[in-house]
Amino acid sequence: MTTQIELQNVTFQYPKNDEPTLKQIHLTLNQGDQLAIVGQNGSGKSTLAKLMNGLLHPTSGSAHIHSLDSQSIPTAEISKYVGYVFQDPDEQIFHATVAKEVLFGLKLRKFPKAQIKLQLNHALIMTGLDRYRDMNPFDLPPATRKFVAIATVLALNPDVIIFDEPTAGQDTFGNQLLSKIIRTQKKMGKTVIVISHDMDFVSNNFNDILVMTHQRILSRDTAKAVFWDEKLINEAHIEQPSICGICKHLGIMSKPITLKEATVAIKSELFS
Amino acid sequence: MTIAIDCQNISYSYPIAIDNTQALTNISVQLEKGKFYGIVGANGSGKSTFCSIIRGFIPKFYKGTLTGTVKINGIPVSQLQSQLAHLMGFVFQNPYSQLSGVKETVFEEVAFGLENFGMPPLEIENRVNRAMDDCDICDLALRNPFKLSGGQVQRVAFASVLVLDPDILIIDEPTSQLDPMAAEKIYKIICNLKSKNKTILLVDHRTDLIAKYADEVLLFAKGHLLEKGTPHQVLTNPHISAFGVKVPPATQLIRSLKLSLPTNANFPVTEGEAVKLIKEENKNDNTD
Repeated sequence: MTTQIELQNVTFQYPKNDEPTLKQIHLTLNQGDQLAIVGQNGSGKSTLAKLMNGLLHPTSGSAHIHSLDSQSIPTAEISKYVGYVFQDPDEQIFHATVAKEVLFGLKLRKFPKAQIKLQLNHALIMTGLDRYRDMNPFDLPPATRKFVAIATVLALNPDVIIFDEPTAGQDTFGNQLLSKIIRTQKKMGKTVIVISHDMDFVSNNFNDILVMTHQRILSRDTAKAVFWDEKLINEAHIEQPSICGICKHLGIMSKPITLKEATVAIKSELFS
Repeated sequence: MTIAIDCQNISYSYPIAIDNTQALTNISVQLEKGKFYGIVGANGSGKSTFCSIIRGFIPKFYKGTLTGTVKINGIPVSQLQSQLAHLMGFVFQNPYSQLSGVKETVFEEVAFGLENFGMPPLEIENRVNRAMDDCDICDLALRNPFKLSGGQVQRVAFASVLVLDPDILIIDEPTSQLDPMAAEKIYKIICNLKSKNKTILLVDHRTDLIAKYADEVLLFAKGHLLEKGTPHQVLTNPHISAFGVKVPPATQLIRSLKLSLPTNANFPVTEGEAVKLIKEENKNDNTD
């Protein structure tokens, strides 16, 4: 299995801060990994993401992307392998229409014209933006604008995609579309990293969970192991998915994570 | 019962709207003083537009075509002018829109509104400290607001409105970037405000929290106010997911279990209600 991203003993400190934002981070991501990062505000999730795509470099320790030291290759080169969707889409959007925004990265990459057209259309259709292609992104609601940012990254077809809080402000339609995009990337063998505070979304879409707190990685484990570990949950300021919370109060033993598992567990443990 | 906000026949279309499409159509609703209203609906359904009209941002900053009237405590919004700032607090959806941009520390940012009200410095300091404590941002007091994480800025934005102690608070998606514990904390702060007879309008996609804390829920769809009622009445409507609103997980679970409910029972919307109902059913099941 190819290793896509490897962080070894990484510490990171922003120039004017008194303390490091990340301490002693070890993390390996292989091709096809689907990782969700959860944890409290200010715990270093977005900073970690920016170390994985070369926007930031370790203060000490090393970050390897595609086996290359992130310090030795230009960030533009890294962006061919790792796509990053910013938490605030307004930080990356600046064109007059949705289509032009998505085209920008494709043109920089100097792909053949036919391929550009194909990848543009594919990205717009996948994100449900086809009908908005001639609109100004800033006339769209913020949650839809997030999909513009997602389309710009999908269009470039990188091996690794990092989504920074894509679920923030999304309604159920938005969340369903996100699930679908992530499933599609999985089928294509891509590596996907999602930062999210929506525990229901995380537990329904991921089984590889990284928990962060106070500048460190607290745990990386399966959804079941993470969301049924009460001590871990309290320490990380996260919460169990609602379904788990109900099952805990009912004394369900089999530690269900999804609605389906909970339904089966409650029926068999309480009503059989 | 005192009416804090009275909307009559509000319709509105934005200046850039294609074919004059209405963002809101014929909204009439009365909101009571001292109640906590949760506002739900798909993105683009009119929730934020509704909030902007009540606060008077529409038509003051956004032009377009507005008809109908909004009265606050019986007085039309258009006549309230600068009093509105004292009467009503507004927390923006994008927390960066809330920042003044002229203050270099979180403490000064939170104090900014009170300074503008001309309050004595000692009182400002007390109130700012209390608001920062409520929002768990005391440790950020000396940080630059523009160098914080998304969730931290969101809490600073909330504190900078909370500190003004307005009678009416309009809060547009205050928890979208917050970790789960911080999100629930915001709802607890709001409940505390309710006990002080404040009126709260809160837009959020977190129907589990709205079910737990709100007195009433307003459901918007395509510019219409489709429903107004208790969380039970609105959130157990089987059609809400077709309007982009998440069915509370507790409700989903009870539905999925296909329990036969007593006819007079409220269908659960909160975790606590679901647990109680399943336990009762389990007891009945075992005694059969």
